[in-house]
Amino acid sequence: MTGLQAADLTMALTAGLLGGLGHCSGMCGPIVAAFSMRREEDKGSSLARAVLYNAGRVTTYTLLGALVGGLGSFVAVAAPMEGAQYALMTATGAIMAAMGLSIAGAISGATALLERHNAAVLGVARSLLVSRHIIIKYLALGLVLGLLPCGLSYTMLIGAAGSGGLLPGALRMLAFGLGTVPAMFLIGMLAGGAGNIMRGRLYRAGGAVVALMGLVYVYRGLAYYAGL
Amino acid sequence: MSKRDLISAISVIVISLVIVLYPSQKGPRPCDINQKGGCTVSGVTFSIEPRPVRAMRENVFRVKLANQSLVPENSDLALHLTMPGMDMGTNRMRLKNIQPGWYSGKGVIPRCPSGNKLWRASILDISAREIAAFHFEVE
Repeated sequence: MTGLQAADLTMALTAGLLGGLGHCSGMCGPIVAAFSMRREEDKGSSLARAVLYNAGRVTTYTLLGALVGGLGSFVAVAAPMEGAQYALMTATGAIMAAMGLSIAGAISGATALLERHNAAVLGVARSLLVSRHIIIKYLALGLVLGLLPCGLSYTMLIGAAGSGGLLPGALRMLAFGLGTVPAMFLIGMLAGGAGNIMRGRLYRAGGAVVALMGLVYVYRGLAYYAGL
Repeated sequence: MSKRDLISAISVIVISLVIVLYPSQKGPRPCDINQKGGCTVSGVTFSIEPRPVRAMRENVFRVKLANQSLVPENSDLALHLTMPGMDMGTNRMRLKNIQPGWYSGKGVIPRCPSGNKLWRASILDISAREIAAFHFEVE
């Protein structure tokens, strides 16, 4: 590895660390908090869930880095994918809203809602949410949600596209993804801990906030299609 | 509701408001980057093509210096794109000196899912000194 490549990776890692605390905690933090707040019936600690979720997310970043680096173009990959990313954002927001309402006690359960709406996207979401296999569930969740549209990730992918190849692109996005882990990990652990500690009205209030954030995501997703 | 619950509830609301309002911070009034000839500040003209300027596609960024003594002869410039109020990472590109006083380079403006469209383009010389800055909005 050359000094320049090492400098690139250090910069990507630093961008992830700083962006994780600032950008990601505001933009993606609510999603992590939403999925972490649920009182889980499945086996596995909140630590294992956070590790698996972040492993999935970083893997997606790395694969995207390899793709744009190999092709040498960010636009060739991101432009055709963008519409699907915003559809994913809208669906994620809808799921968050359903989960939040479930936590708040407004509906009997998010899974019951998902049962009644057997659309393809919700079917995938349902399999992620109610799967009893914790490894598949949280790893898959991270892999899928790593595809959510994110301005900071886009910028890093633009850099990865110009990094000169598949491996440098992958490594750059791996470094960036690893950099974002501490902040996302912290949010997940705090939200998971809060979900277990909080009782009664406060827990339900947290659910209402999750539902509200879900609606914000739905709005942002739909705003893309409306050209707002 | 106990005092502790009340404090916790207020904390949740404050954190939520910060999360919701964080992406909507706005910077100064932007110039119209889609106007013919681009934007000019203190003898430095900045333009992006093709027009209308769009995010998520390859754009050509051009800078014209009315006063060429602003930068060393035959040296290139750098363009640093940032979004006021939002950490969008380092999006820096090289603007090659294509002829005296004219600089050009290719790059991509990413889209922010928060809906923010305001960007700040900082034109830097080889010593990373900012010689001009432009605020503009991109769809």
